[in-house]
Amino acid sequence: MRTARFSLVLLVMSVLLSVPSARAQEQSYREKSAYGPIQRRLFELNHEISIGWAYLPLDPFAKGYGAQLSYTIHFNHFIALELFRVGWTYNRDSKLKTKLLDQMPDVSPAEFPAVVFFENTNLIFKLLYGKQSLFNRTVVHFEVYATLGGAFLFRNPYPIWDGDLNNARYEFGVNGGFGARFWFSPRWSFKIDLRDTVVMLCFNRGDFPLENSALVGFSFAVNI
Amino acid sequence: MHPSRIRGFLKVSVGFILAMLVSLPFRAPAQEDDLDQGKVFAIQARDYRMNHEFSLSMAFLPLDAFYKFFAVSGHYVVHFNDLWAWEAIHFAFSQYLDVDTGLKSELSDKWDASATDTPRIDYSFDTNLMLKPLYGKMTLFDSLIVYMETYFVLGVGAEKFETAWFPAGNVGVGMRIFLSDTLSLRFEVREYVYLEEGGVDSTLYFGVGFCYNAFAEERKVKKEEKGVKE
Repeated sequence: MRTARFSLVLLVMSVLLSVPSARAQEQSYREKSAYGPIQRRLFELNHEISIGWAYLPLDPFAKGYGAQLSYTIHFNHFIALELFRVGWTYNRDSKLKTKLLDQMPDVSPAEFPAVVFFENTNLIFKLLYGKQSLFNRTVVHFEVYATLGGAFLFRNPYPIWDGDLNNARYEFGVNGGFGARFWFSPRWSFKIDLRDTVVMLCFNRGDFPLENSALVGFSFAVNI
Repeated sequence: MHPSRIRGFLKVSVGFILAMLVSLPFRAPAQEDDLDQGKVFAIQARDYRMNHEFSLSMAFLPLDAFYKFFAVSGHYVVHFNDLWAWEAIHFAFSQYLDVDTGLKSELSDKWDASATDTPRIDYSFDTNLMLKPLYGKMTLFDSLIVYMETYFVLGVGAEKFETAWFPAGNVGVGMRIFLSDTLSLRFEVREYVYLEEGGVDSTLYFGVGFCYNAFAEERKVKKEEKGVKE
């Protein structure tokens, strides 16, 4: 009899305790805006590695084509830390540089340092998450994010395999940009990035160049 | 318990366990399918539809080494349906809206070189076919729903430089954010490739446009059509 009464008390307590949690859960998924209910995200990220292609178009004397690799830790839906994004670029002389070298004998190739290696560490603010219907047939999930952080650039007038580092520049700058991610599956996604670094300091020359180095990136990412 | 009943119970148990083991590999994918929400979805009717679109935009043309150009542009688009539209005219005016990058003075100071005068863009116009394959919604900080569409443009036109007119083709991609039935914002990037004397060159164009959707009510989806009862 005592056991039955104890069981009944436990049952009532469990029911009473479960009501607020159920209500809280209901609250969290309830309609939060005047526009309609907001669904839970289908794709969430944790530890992300991405590899892709980079294009650096802003240098008037060289256009950079390269590869980049990044590792990002996603804390929650809104904030992530791009711990590192490293890249290497192969620089092709612009028409202007070719003209200068051809027509002016005093001009030396050593005077045109271009980005060879770069490293960025950024905070990522994931502003928007959504889904779009493609041709009204299938659903594509995506997010839009902004980035802000620091960047280290290694600039050299010659390719790294030439071994000539006499005119190299080691620079620090502030990096910011925007990007968009499109998911193929819960693990795999494709990213488009537009980043800009404002170079503020050259360590080994002691100057403050205040130059822009923009990057357009396309990369594949895997959530590990 | 009678030994024959025990044997019968054991037979049934072994059969049941075997049946479970055999069915496991087949059940697991079925469960995955249930969870794979990406394959099971519903596509809602569009809340916003475009009809006759008029726009005023601000643009930035960043890739010229000597000048960064700003432009004011406008366009008229007639939307045939949810998928196709024709940007009948897109006009961008950038004369007097350029900023010197300082490269000329750098060339002059460093190497005593005076760059031959690089022609600046005065204006451009083009006409484009617009494809709108993606329409959807997104959440801003998980609290506000924003409706949007993604579109692609492909067209032909001309660019007027200080020196001459050059025929140009362009390709671009953009995103429209719907503010209401009649108002929307467009963010787009276009690449103009033009034929100049002795070669081909290009102009990159970033634009932000404020759009008005005229006669929006003609395309508005009624609630009854969407299956919503009043």
